[in-house]
Amino acid sequence: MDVVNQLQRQFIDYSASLHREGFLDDQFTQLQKLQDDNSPDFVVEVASLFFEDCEKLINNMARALEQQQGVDFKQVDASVHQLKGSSSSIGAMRVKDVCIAFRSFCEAQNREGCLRCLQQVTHEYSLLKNKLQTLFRLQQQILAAGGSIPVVE
Amino acid sequence: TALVVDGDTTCRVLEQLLLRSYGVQTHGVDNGRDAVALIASGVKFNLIIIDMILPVLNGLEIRDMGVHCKMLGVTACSGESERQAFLAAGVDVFIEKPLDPEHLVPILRELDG
Repeated sequence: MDVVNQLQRQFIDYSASLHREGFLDDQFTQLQKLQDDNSPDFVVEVASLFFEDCEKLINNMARALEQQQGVDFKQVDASVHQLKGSSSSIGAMRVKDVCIAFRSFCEAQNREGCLRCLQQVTHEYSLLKNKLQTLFRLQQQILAAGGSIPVVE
Repeated sequence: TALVVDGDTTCRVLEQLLLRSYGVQTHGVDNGRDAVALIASGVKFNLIIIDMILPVLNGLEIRDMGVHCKMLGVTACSGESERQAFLAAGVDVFIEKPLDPEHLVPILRELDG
């Protein structure tokens, strides 16, 4: 019981830090509330989908920005727009915020600005992926120890 | 029954799961062509949730097929001009992503009569 309590405490503290540091917002909490016995791995599965989408979209943006013959900013913007939607849907606040700035640079057809944002969004995505994987590992440890996942408001 | 039309996998899965959590049966497609085919096959929907940026299809085209159910537009765009364009394209309500219970529940209550 002591081990479970310790792990649950760690989980709560880590979740709180992710929200405090802006990695996640309330939308992620809403998703966790949707998880139940019928879909116990729902959040992990959705996060995996999001990571796959992210990588695909970031690659699309990078390819579009590499074009020597002239950048198709509409194409870049389409990928950023999509990433903004999926990041806001999962509660990935810092990724979403970079996308907002990124779209402004696309609209201004500012390649340097876009490249900086691409670097930032790649960085934020990597950070978030690592942090969520840590959170999910904690979840697994709690369950393996016979405990339940605390709901963090 | 609801139809979710969204090209983004993460968004579509989340929108469908949110609807299911309220007991709504859902179909999901990732493009306008498949949405048109599903509607043309005779499947009836009480609610359509449609992303703004889709190839092939917009709200007006769905309306032209004789679809009269509630249409809820969702988009990552937040500007007033996008809102007006979306409403002019045939949706009844426009929501900036993410789709959340605050916006969905009143619509579901209304549909429930």
